[in-house]
Amino acid sequence: MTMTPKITLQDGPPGEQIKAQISGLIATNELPSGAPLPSVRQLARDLGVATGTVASAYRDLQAQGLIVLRRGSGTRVADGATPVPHEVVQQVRKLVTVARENDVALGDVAGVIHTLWRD
Amino acid sequence: MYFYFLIYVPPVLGALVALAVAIMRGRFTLFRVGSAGFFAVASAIVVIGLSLLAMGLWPVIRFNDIFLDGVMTLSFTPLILGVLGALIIAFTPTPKSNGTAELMPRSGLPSEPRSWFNSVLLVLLLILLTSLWAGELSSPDEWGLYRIFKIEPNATFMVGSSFYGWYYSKWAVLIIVALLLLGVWRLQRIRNGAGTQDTRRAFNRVILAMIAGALLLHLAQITTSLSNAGALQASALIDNGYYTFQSSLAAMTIPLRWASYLLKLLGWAAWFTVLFSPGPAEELDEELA
Repeated sequence: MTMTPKITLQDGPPGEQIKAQISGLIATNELPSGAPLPSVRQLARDLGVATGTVASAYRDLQAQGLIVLRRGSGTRVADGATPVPHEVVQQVRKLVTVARENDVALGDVAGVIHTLWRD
Repeated sequence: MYFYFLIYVPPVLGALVALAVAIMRGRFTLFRVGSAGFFAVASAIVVIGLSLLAMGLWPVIRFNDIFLDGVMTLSFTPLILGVLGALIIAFTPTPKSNGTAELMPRSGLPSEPRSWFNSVLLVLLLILLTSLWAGELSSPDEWGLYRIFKIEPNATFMVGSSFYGWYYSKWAVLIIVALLLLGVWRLQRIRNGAGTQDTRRAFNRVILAMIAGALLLHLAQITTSLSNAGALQASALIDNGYYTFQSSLAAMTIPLRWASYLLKLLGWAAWFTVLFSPGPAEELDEELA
């Protein structure tokens, strides 16, 4: 039985979270090329946000070449969509594994990445 | 005593079966009965009361003067209560957002939980087949209504009994269609609501159990009517000889009777599944989140 990929909203702007989480799922291939996505209205209802928020997030993802919006055939992950190179994803996977083994919280890891990114 | 046993035992056993299944599946939560659950209990009391009246067994004698068409009362009550129950459920809230979304488009009529969905389809098919069978066996009464089962050995001698013929099944079709339309509407509302697949399954189960229960209890009454027709006998003195004529369904009497007991038990178990499922209340979202 395959698991349906999910997104969960936490604190922060919902539109940014929707974009970040869908990008992440595409990067890790949990949403492979051609995978169907829910309609704007359905996703907005499920997440409890305005349809405009989801529509805006979908438009940005389309502009990045990650998804394809087609009237009639619905929204799908674009062919060959790769927001992050495969090697980076592999290294992040390793980082997540090590952080979990050492009981380091996601926020702390993100803080370290933010700091290092600025260096 | 036997008739009281027939009326009281199936709902009690059905409730116990539903309770056992709910406990085994880890769904039973004490004191979490929703409006649909209360309706399930109230409906059981109504069905028992009307069954006692229709069979002339009501404990207060003066009420036994009330004439009820037994076949109609016993076979239509579950369907009418099913429609009322479906109406109550139809207007209860659908799953609300808990901030999580599954990235999967939803389309078509939801068919989950598959076992309940298939049960409803199977019972509908059985109702169709038994209604056609009973309809073909039915004969018109003096008003031309097909609601009699006859044993007619010759042109001058006939014995008949009230029976689930075309007269009843044509009305049943209308109520069943209303019941199904309400069910489809509710399933569509749940599909279009928020919530994860597990939440929607839990909500779907309540309406599908209510429909399955109503249909199973109706099918049980058709089967009972066929079984009663099988038990019918006609005795007569013909040409100085005493003859007993059996019903054309005589060989089927016992299997049909047991089938009706089983269907009643299953029907009540489905009906009480509504009581022992977490009600379609708003808290269900949080529970399943």
